[in-house]
Formats: sequence, structure tokens, C-alpha cells
Amino acid sequence: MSRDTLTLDDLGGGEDAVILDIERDGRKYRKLIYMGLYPGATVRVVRRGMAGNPLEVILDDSLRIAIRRKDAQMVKVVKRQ
Amino acid sequence: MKIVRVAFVGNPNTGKSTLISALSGRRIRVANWPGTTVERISADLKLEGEVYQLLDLPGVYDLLDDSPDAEITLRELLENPPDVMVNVVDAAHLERNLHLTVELTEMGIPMILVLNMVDEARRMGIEVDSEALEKELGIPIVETVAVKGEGLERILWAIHRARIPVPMVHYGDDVEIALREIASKIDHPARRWLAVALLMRQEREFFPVDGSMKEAVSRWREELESRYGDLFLYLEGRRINTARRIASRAVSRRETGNSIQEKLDAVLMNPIAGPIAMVLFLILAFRFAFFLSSPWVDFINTVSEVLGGWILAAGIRGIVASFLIDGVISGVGTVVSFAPVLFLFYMVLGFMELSGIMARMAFVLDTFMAVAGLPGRAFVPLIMGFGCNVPAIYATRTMENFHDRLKVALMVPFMSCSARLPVLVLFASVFFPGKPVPVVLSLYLLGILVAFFTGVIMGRLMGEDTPSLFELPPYRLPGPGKLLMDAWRNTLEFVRGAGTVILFSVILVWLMMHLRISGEDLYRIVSRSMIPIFRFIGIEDWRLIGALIPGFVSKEVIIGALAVGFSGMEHLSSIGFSEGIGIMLNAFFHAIKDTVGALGAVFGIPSFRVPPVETSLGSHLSRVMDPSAALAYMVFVLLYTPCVATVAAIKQEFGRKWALISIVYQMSVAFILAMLVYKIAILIHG
Repeated sequence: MSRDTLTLDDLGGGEDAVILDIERDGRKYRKLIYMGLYPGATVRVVRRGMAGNPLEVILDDSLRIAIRRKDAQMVKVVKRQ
Repeated sequence: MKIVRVAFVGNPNTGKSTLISALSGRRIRVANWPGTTVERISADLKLEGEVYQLLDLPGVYDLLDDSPDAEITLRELLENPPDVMVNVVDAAHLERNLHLTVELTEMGIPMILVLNMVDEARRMGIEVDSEALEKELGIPIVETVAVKGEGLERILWAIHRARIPVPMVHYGDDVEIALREIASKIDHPARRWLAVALLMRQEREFFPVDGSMKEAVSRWREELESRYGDLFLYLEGRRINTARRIASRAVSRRETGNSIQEKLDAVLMNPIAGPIAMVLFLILAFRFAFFLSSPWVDFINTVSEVLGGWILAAGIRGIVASFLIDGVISGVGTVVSFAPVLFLFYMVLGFMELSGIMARMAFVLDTFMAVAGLPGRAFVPLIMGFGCNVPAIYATRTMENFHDRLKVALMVPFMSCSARLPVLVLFASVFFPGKPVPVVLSLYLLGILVAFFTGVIMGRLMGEDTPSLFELPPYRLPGPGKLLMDAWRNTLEFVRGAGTVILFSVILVWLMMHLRISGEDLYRIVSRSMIPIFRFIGIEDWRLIGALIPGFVSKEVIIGALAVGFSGMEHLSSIGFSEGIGIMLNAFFHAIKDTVGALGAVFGIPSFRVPPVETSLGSHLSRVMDPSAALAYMVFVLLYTPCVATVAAIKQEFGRKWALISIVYQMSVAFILAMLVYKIAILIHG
């Protein structure tokens, strides 16, 4: 994976992106996948809480979830034009 | 009569339990799954010569998730396969819900699909074509709005037409060959699902499989992993793509303004306005619960007094009367007086959870809680602890992770509850006249700090790192019926579960006060024997130590115990029958009046009044201890085990072991800090 790969945490408000991959980290990445954060899913960061944490993300245009920055950094994305 | 066992399966918050209670009316049974605190909701429905045994399985995103909920659901489906599985899905989030559906089609159990909350989906501009969906899945599909009772009658109709679905996911030709070979060696209806789980390296000890296929599994794993890498990701990906494909054929969406949600979120989830709004909301909600319940607590106390008076009026005297009044009635009264408090707190909690406010609160307060290694939801029980620790312990249920819940439950008792306030105020105004408010406030702060460090230390010990990830559901207005019923059920559960422990301790304390050994009561002997320990915090009068013993039952009685210790017994008077009825009726109408009056007071400005201290008690106290010792005593009262009801709540939620650990921990922390404060105070004061 190239050096300039973005993570979910790098996205600005309102930017659409597609999930490329999830960092493998024990049981944690399975949890992310079960919640619907899977390669191919579209994500959009709606807003962030205080000090940029956590993120509100809309998954596949329908599901709103909250995720902490640390976990969002496990999700590699590519911006959609 | 024919019995049909029907299990409801689905993601969390899809309305499974609402469906079951709508189908069966009030006849639902609520218990816990053996060995857990996860609710088990079931109901029997008799209809046209058949009995439908409806069972709600805990909500899951995937049967192989790590949560205790998922393990219960999976075990039940494997060990006790139902006759029919009702898969409840949220129509607004069909694709995500279908992840579980396609997995369930591999279980070999007849199933139907209930498309719930279709009204909410429509409002969001989402239309699900249930005919297209039925064609894709090949099982009966019913559209419902469970909260309004729409579509229910068709569920039973569909249950009769349930059939074992064709597994929806095609994993690719080579994987299919592997699955067929492994599945052929498993003697269980869910053989295909089990074969997939084995390839994913997700075996569980309760799988109904034996070692004979081990060789085949590891051979295939090796071969397939060399081709596809991580098989978990690969196979899960196949499932997700299948769900996506089906959803894309059945769902059409149009753009809607979705304005109310956006507008509310813009305020409630704003980084600055959000926390302020949420804290204000919490204060109002908890004041509401407190102000509305306290008239009823007073009423229960009056009833206890009248009952005591009647016992005396009946001519019962001496030790028997004392046992009945101070042991039995006082014990039962303590248990019952928690009921109104808990009931209203449960209402408030239920409202917050179901309305979607809880999730928003967790979002905006996440940053603060993350400092202590906690999820945002921990804020609610911790703040609630300032009111009463008991509902606060139960409020930890709002968090799904067991370790987070336990951590917060051990922190809560250090939040100074309203029962501790009068004790702290009494000592502060006797020993620090002129500045009782700053003294009391610094004690509150000390409690918060101790709680914080408890959280940090527990976090280190548990060393677990689960992702903090949660759904932000749409705002919903919860039905009052569900709120009332849930609150009632949970309150009853407290009375049943914690009641005996509380009653037992009240009677134990009574025994201590009245049992005499060679002419002296046990209470005095025990208190006196602890003087050598309490000397370290400057306490040398046995009555001060003795008051801490009933203080273990509840903190507010410390004042009464001190008064009795220094000034002697208060005399109870007998009450005639009709007089007693009159007093109770009067108290009842007062309670109603105060409840109505409280509605206005909820929005009033809080006042911090220092109540007048009984001068005689004050002068007694200042004679037996100096300000340094008083400060240490206050620290001890602040930090030691808050009350037996809190212990009972911890036992009910986390088991006996943790209840005992919490007592030992609180006692040690209280003593060590009291001693520290005493030594420092002496150094400064001389």
C-alpha cells in the first residue's frame, strides 16, 4: 500500500470515500467489519466531536455510526471523485 | 396440543421484543439467561389449538461476534434449534441487517423475515420492495410496524409457511467443494454454517462437531488460505457482497430533507453547544426523577412509622417490638423506599436510550470520558451517582462491554450521593463554621478524583482495548407504555434480587445493637474493639465508630445513630388504628400534592441550604473530636461502602465476587485517605 494512503480519520467533513482495507489487529478488526466497515463500503464523515473525537460517519448512505479516531485510523480509504 | 417453538433473531434495536409483547399482550415473561444479566424475554401464545412459544434471542450483528449476547444467541440456535426462526430486520438499514440474514440461511432452520419499522424507512425516503426480496430469499416476508401493531396478524400466517431457506451465499467453486466435504462429516442441521465457521478459524468449544473432520478442515484451510489469504475476510466478504446484491435489488431510495434529525443533531452534537445541552438535560431529567420520587419515599417512611405505632398499640413491648419495628419493618421499608427512586430513574434512562439521546450524549461527551479510558456512555451512571448510587449501578447496563460496566460500577460508589450530603454538612458546619460549603465541595471533588483513579487503575489491570463504536439511531419518541412496563419490571427485579440482601443486613445490624454479651451490647463491644484502628484517623470515641455500622445500611442514618449514641434513645409512641389510617391518608395526599408541585420545582434554581444543626449534638461532637479528626471522619464517610443496597446492586449485576472486592476496596481506600488527610491536617494545624 502506498505511503499516501488515507485513513477514515483523514477525511474532512462531507467528503465521500470508499473503504479499501481494514488494518488487521486481533479481534478489533472483526468488530469493525461486523458493524459494516468493510472494503467497498462508502463512508462520509459528517462531523466530529470535541478535539476532533469521535467521528460521526454515514456508512453506505444509511447507517450513522460514531467511531473514535484511534479506530478510524485502522480504516484505509480512497476518496471518491 | 401442538407446540411450535419460535425464536426471534435480528440485529440490536430492530424491535424484536416489541414484536413479541405486541403479539402476546401482557403475558410476556422476563428472566435472565442463565449465568448472565442478559434479559431473556419469552411468551406463550395459544391459538387455534396450537401453542406458540415465542423467544427473543439477544440482538447480534453476526453470530460469531465476541459479545456475550452473540454467544447466547448462537448457542441457543445450535443446541436448541427452534421450529421456526423469525428474522426481524430494520427496513431502514436493510443492507446491514441482511448480513445476518444471509448468515442465518446457512443454519438449516425454517425461517421467515419480518421487515420492521417500514414507516420509519419511508420517512427516510427508503422503500423496500418486499416481493422482490421474497423472490431473492425464497422465504415468507411480512411488513410490520411493531410499535403501532401493524402487520402482526400476518406473522403467524407466515410462520406456518416458513421453510428452510436455500443458503444465499455462494463462496466460489473451490470453497464450495471444501464446504461440502467438511459439512458431510457434520451431523447437525447447521452443518454448512459450521463448516464456514471452521474455515474462518472461528471454532467455539460448544460446536456440535467432533475431531474426525479436523484433518479435512486443516487441509482445506491451508489450500484456500494460500489462494485467498485471510479466509475470515474473504468469506465474510462473500457474505457482505451477497447482502449488498440482494439489498440493491429490493431497496429504492429518494432524497428527503430529513430535516428534523439534521437540525437536532446540529445543536445536540455541536462540540460546544452539545455538551452544555446534554448536561442541562441530564440535570433536569435527574431532578425530575428525584423530585417526583422523594414525596413517595416520605410516604413510605410514614407508613413504616404508623405500622410501628400499631405494633406498640397492640401491646407488644420490649425486644419483640424492637425486632419488628427496627428490624423487620425498617428493613422492608428500606427496600421499598428505593422502589419509587429506581422506577423514575429507569423511566428517565429508558427514555434516553430509546429516543436516541443517549447515543448523542455518548458522542459529545466521549472526549471527557476517554481521559479515564471510558466510553462516552459512562457519563450517565457517574452523574447519576451524585443522586443515588443504586440506580447508577444499574445504569451501567447502558454500556455493552462487560469490563467497561464493571469499571464504572466500581467508580460510582465514590460519587457522593444525596444521602451522604447531610452527614457531610453536619460535620462541616460544626467544625468549620463559616466555610461549610467549600469544605463539602472539596470532599465531592475528592470523591470524583478517587473515582477517576479507580477507573485508570482498573483500565491498566484489564488492559483491554475494544473499539469504541456505536450506532447513532434516528430520533424516536418512545411509547409511554413500553417505558412504564420496562421500569416496573426492572424495579420489581431489584426488590426481588436485592431485597433479601438489604433486609438481611438491616436485621444483622439490629442484632448487633440488641444482642448482649455479659451485660453489654455487641454493638458497643465491636465499636470499642475498633478504637485502636480508628485512632490512626484521630477517632477515639466508640459512638463515632458505632454510627458507621448502621451507616453501612444507609448513610443518612449516621446522624440519627450519633444522636441516639450521645443523647439516648428516642421514644416511639403507639398509634391507634384509626389515627394511623388518618396519618397515612394524610401522608398519601401530601405525596400527591408534592409530586404535582415538584413538576414546577424541577426547573427551579437549586439551593444549597445548610440545615440547622441540633445544638446538643453539635456540642457533643466538638467535645469528642477536633477539626482534623472531623475532616478525616468526613473523608471516611464519603468513601467507605455507600450502602448495602449499592452492594446488593453490584452483586446482582456482577456477582458475589465483585461485590466483596468492591467492599474491601472501598474500605481500604476510605481508611488510607482518611489517615492521610488526618496526618496532613495535623501537620498544618499543629
